Amino acid sequence: MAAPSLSELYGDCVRSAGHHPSCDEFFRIFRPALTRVARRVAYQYNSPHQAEDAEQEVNLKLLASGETILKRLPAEPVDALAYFSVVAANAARDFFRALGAAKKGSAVTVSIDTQLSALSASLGVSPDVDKSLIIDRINELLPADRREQIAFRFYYYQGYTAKEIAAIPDFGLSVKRGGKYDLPDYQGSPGAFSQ
Amino acid sequence: MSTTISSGPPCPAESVWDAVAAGLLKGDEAVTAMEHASNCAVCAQTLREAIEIFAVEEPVTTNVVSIGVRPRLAPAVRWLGIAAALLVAVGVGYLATTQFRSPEPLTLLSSAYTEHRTLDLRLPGASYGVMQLERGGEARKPTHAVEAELAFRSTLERMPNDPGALHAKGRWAILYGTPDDAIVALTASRDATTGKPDAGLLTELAIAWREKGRRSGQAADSLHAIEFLGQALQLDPTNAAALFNRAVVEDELNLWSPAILDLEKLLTVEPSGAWSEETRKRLVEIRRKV
Repeated sequence: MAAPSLSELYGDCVRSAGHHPSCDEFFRIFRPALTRVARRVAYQYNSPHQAEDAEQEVNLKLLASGETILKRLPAEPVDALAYFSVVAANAARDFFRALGAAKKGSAVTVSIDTQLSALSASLGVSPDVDKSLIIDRINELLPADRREQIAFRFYYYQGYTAKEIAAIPDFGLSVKRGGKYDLPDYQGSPGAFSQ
Repeated sequence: MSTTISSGPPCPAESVWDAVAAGLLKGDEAVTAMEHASNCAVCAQTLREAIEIFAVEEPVTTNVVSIGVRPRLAPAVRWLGIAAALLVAVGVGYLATTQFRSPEPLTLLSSAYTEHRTLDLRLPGASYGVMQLERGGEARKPTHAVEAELAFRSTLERMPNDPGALHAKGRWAILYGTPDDAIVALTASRDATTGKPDAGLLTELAIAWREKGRRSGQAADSLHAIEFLGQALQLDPTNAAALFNRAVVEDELNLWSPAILDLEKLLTVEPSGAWSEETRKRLVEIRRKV
């Protein structure tokens, strides 16, 4: 007999108000993702020491809002896990907001100034030229594909790192040498954008 | 700096960015949301924070169907196994505490690097060593490296999340293992460390990504290395190993001007000594290319 899915385990757990053996199995499977989400949210709120409290809060939320969550739970196991993670992140954020914890500043990433300075040489413009001119030049050279345009904007306008862009699940982005996102080649080879 | 290009439609709720980062929102809906974020600094930041939360660095088991209850071993076999494991653990622990009580595995690995340097990048805190050509699986492991391996393994058996032992495991993997193993161990060490990460640890994480890039040929890996070195230098702007290593990676990416700037700064930080000689040689070579 096939083992029950995560959604089935959760359903049994909710319907028994947390008293079914499925509860233990559900939390055993979900705990690594739950702990990671709670820890990362706690870090964003400058409160890593309260990660365990946030995790406990998420546990309670998952049981207290069980019926609502069950109605919206996707059928696919992978999506279900993603949905539980989203619920966990929301509950953890609510926990820290209720405590009045302040969110820390943005994560350390490559700054767009650095990117634009490196690009300026490739684009044949002075490093001191107004940044808006460089951005205009990039706009002229953007690829036709919508996703590629988004990737360029994330990278050059919003200062995203290649790792951050690649971490977006639906992006379908692969970064490989000689590929469209092979940024150092653009930087090192004048006119490469127009190729 | 981030940029808002146009006002466009109103910003989606925070939960939408969670759904994008967690992979729940797909297809056109996801692309439309991302398009908005790519033009909106506020949403780009919210999405970035969501990515930070949902990015999976360690695989999470989703294949629930395959998870079953392990067959229980007969009690006698189980207890014999536990006893054997305890004996091994006690033995290794005894060896670690008597034979390898000091120095620390990180120090041992620094000595091993200097004694038989096969990595062109600088290992934070390590003394200068003459570069040798031998690399990879055929590289000879100095005694210090073997001692260090036993020490961090012993610690990790008792404390799997010990940041120092994970750091040592990562450093060992840089020198004698694989870049992927080094990245996993060093990332785990960084995550297990409370407070700000150490500039030296970030520098080693960068070394691992650069080595990974050399093997895979993917420029994105070298970009990761530059990112981590930038983070290390934000924490410690005069970190000699980070400056040196960033210059080497920038040189590999044909980013000669920033490479020259880093090496020039390094020479003001470290004007004399064996490392400075190597810095000067590299500076001359890169200036020739410009």
